[in-house]
Amino acid sequence: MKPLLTCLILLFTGAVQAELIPGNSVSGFVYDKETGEALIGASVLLSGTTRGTSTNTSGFFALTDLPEGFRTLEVRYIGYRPAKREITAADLGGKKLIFNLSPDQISLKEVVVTADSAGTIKKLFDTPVSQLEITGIEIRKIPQIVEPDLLRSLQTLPGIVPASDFSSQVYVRGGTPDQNLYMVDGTDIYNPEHAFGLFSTFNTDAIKNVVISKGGFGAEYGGRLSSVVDVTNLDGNRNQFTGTANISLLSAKSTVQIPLGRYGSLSGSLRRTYFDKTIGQIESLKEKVPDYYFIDGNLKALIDLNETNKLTVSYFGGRDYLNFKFNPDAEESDRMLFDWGNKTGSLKWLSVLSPTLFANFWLTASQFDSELNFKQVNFTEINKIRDLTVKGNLEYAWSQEHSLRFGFESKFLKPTYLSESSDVYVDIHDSRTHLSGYIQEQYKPADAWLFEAGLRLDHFVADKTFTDFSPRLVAKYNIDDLQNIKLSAGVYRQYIQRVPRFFIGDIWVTSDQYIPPSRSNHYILGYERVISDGVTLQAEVFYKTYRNLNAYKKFFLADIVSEGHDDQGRTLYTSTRGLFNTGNGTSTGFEALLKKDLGIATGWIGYTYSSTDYTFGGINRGKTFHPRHDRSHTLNGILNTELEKAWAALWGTTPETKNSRWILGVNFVYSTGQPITTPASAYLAGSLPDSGTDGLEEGGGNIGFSLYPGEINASRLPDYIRADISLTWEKRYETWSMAPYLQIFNAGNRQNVWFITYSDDSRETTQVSPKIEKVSMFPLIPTIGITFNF
Amino acid sequence: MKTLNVLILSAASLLTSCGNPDVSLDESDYAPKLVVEGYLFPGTAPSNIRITRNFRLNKPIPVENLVLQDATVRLTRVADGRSELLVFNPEALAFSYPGTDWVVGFDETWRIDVTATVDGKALSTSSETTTPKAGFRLNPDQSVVGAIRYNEKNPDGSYKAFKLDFRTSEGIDLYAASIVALDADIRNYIFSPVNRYVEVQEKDSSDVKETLNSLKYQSVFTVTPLSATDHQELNIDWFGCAFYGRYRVIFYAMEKNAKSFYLTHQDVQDQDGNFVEPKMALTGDGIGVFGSALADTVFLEVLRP
Repeated sequence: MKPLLTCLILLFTGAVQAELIPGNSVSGFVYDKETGEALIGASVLLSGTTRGTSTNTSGFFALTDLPEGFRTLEVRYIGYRPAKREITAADLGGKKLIFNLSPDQISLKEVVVTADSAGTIKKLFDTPVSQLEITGIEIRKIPQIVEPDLLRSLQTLPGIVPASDFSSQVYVRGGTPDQNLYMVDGTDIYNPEHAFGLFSTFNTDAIKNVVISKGGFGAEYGGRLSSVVDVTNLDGNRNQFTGTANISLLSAKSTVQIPLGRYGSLSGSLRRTYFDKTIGQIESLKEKVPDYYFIDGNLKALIDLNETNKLTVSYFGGRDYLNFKFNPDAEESDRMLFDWGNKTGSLKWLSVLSPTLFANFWLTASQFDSELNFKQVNFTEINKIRDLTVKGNLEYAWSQEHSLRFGFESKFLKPTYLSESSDVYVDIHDSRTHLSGYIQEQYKPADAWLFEAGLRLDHFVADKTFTDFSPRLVAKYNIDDLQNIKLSAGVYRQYIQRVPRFFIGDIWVTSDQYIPPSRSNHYILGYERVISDGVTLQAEVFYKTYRNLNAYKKFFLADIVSEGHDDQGRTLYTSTRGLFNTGNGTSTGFEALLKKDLGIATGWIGYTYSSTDYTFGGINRGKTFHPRHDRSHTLNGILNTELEKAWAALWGTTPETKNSRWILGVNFVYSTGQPITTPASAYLAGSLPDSGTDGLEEGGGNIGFSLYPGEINASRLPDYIRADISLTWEKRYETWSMAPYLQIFNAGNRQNVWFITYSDDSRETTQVSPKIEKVSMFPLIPTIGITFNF
Repeated sequence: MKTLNVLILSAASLLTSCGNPDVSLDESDYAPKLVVEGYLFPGTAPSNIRITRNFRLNKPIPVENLVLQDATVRLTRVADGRSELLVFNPEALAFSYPGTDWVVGFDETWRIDVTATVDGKALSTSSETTTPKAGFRLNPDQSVVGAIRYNEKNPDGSYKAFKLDFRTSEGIDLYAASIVALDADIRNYIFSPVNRYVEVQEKDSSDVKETLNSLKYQSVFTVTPLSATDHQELNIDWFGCAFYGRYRVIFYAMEKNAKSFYLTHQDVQDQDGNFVEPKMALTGDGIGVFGSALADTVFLEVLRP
């Protein structure tokens, strides 16, 4: 902590004392020529040099202190044709430059391959440590189950693993799912999953870009320990009406983009599942397919107020409905009704306050809620979290060497949990205020060096107030035109905790006098290299420490304390005291990502070695153990190729040019099995003091054999291996295209073990032999569907 | 050539992603433990403290040395420091204080220290319990006990059910009732849709036989505030009564060690099958429970309609 603070002070002192070099500046936006969408992360360079910058999430750039004799600006973005522009005196006077880049791939007739190693290394250098970008197009190329999904796509990247096939929650570098900050267009999302792991909240057709920071993220992000998943949805095509529609056996969805003339654009999407109405009607599957569906949709409007001010309004809503009958054959069977969903809304004002000062201000609201009703046992439950946030992010391009980012966030949180049964009433409803501010200075003393120092202040008000400073530091060095190294360290804090559920609807509670805020320190060393055009290697080692991790107690009932009775005489609980075990931990790992963006075959290979250790007072008798999500080795491979071209390359011929193509996709994953705790021995005991040996000879009685576990998570499930395949035939017509597809999930039909259970059928009076039963994850699942683009 | 390599790699990935992996228990995880099962009751001398051992899975139970009668069991009353070695009672297969001059009181802290050798390894454990404060008792006038006909209705049309009304002890928040069907027999089994939650779903006597013992011994509990109250209720609904006939109900006020053991020792698997540690208040090599409780007993009877 102290060395970090010292470095911060030195860097800020240097920034303030540095002499500003007066000079010209230019600023502007970079857009996709066809759709008018802002391009995020495009390189803007002084032509013939490596000096330049990258566009931000709004496609904005600013360059200051331009040298004498400077004439030309060049903009590059992978997959687009580079653009150059002569700069005039008028351009230097505050006028906004607009670059409209044309996509390389205008039609299927020809693919123009453009990339250059200088542009690629510049982009890599500009990218923050441990940050990866994935576009909606890349997500849709990955073979998956039923339909492309963001969270399942993230699981193909190094350092990110799922719990099982049945969960789309992700664990990033040893962190738990509640340590990931999910944002859509600047709005926080809680529990971004639909049921059974098949779908997440994010409709990939509506996604423009996803930035995932696996650690070491800047001071503008806070409130989570492990990662940030920042999703930007499509603003909408500003030039023409376009759309996409997809239909499969399990779901249907559509996204449309509508230009609003000179006022802006509109985009919207809608999705619904209906497997209860399709495969659920097959006689042999009736009992296995639950009565379940979800519907979700989003709407986003971009409004140009003038050249330097834009307004974005967006809304997302989704709802899942589960009607679970305990006996599907009996009409009068007991049933459980469960519905849940997210709602978010945001208003964003983008303003170029001056040629060197750019600002985004948001007003956002987010809600997750679930309602469970189990009438037969008089149990109902309402679980809700709401937040209302006002925030602003500003970027100031101070000089050639210095730039500054600063901002604020004011979040009002209202977590609520109500449950009632005939004798217990739980009513936990809180109002929390989370105020934060940050400042982050970037200092570039030479072309090869870049330093960043940031400081975040968090002030969390609950029944106890927490005020914390979190410093962040980054150093980058460009070794040469092909490789660079990066170093990052930072402190991260979290004031909100999750009570996990088996499938869905996690409950959120906040830090208070009983639940201390969590803290994590990140230390990351990265190396990046351009191997050839379009081929890059990124490798990182990381070390994370955790303090005050809060793990939900399975046996919370043994520790929580009732505050009295409600007006109906039921035992009343109103606080979270006793709900969590608190402990510490570490995560260590190495990741490598070899990525190929261009050529006949594209994709990536990722490898992760990771080890996470926890030490909790109430678990494993205080000894260190691996959590369930720990994986030692993970290997991911993604391949996409056009079959005609691959075939032609194999035989050395030239592929025929036509308006259709076959695309093969392969997704391979191997990972070490999950740690598990197994029973190690048995013993004889009764539950209550009057237990005796009466009936023991017959294998029963009120004294019985109990199993006692061995070391916590000291064993492992078998390794997880899976290969998915997709085959798509794309056919383009004059004004529209279609793409029927076949996806095969788990093509090898490997029976990956989800978990094991133990039946006590074989408990006898002579020996205790628990019978192991495996519960497997998804078998081979084929899916067919068709996508239309118009 | 590169294309060929890619295709070979893709085919290899498919081949490696087949199969049905096997799972087995790692028996090297076994570690010998002392199993303590003892409760102190205010107003009585310390007795019936059973010291046994754990044993390996998939191996014959070491019946001949399951009960550790050679264990050293020392009990100490913390307030006055009096400490006594308990004596093994072969009839009860448990350790007791041999006299009557040492009686457990209310709100007293007691400590147990146990040492014994298991599998050639010297093991030791200890634990402390603070006995409940006085106060707990059944309120017979407000309780519904005695005899009820199956499906008997109240004047308002609702079904009658057994109910224990009781006064709580300050500092105790778990109250559990042990329900033993004294006339449990296949001839007295209640074939009723009410029992759809237990394992017997069909009107088949062989199913009942298999689960007779689990149906005979039931328990229910309620959690209350820690403060003392004059009236608290515990309903014994029909899930707890699988047979016609008499029932013995021992109703306990359980201090925190006993509470933790009761709530956790058999619920050691998570929903995803993973084992978790039960919450037990024993140090070192010990598992089980050293707790204390107050008890009251009532009898119920379910009559045929």
